[in-house]
Amino acid sequence: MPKILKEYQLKIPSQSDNLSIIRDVVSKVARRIGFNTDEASKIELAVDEACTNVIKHAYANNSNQMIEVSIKVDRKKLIIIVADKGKGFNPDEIKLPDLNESIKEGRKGGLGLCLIKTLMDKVEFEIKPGLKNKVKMIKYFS
Amino acid sequence: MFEAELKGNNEIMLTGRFDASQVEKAKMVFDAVANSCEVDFTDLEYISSAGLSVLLVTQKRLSKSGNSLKLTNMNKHIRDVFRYAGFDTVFEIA
Repeated sequence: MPKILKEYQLKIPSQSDNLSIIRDVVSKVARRIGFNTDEASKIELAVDEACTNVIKHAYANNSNQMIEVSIKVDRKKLIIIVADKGKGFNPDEIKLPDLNESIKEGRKGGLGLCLIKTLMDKVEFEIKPGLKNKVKMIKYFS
Repeated sequence: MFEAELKGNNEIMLTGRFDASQVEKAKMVFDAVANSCEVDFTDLEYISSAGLSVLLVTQKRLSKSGNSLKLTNMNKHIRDVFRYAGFDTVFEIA
């Protein structure tokens, strides 16, 4: 396993008002370690989407719960883990949305996950409902 | 900071950062739109899927009466988000 060069932790109440704080931290770290503005914007949006899913779905808008954001940097990549202790989900059961179908049906679900997978190089899930659910997102240095 | 301001009957001006915390504020404005409408993105700095969903729901509602949203003056970053989400084929973007 590559040596971790830098590590940051953020533990913050599960409130959508806090999304801007999470984005600011992630964006600043991404730029500081060498990602350009465009890449940092993608990383910022992916983490926003993961945290929004936690707030809306894992904790069902219960603002008394906490979101944990862990940021690790090694020689080749940035690793961001968004963790919660809420209701888990089966990532295999989440279908990426068909947009034409979404327009017809007015459905909105799955778009955040679709964006995360598009924006990051690698996405992994570890789901233990009520214990700890983790979304691990990786971006490699180019 | 985020603002959605209805100007006249057919233009909405978006300002700031449109994320999940701003959905209710935005819905109050977009739900009041009854006809085709231009949405000006000149001063919008950021949008997440929560913001995209407000636009999608409005587009769906308007399309039932033959109306639609026209999105104007997006910066490169926001245009990229629409492209990543596949929304660039759903809306008229000028």
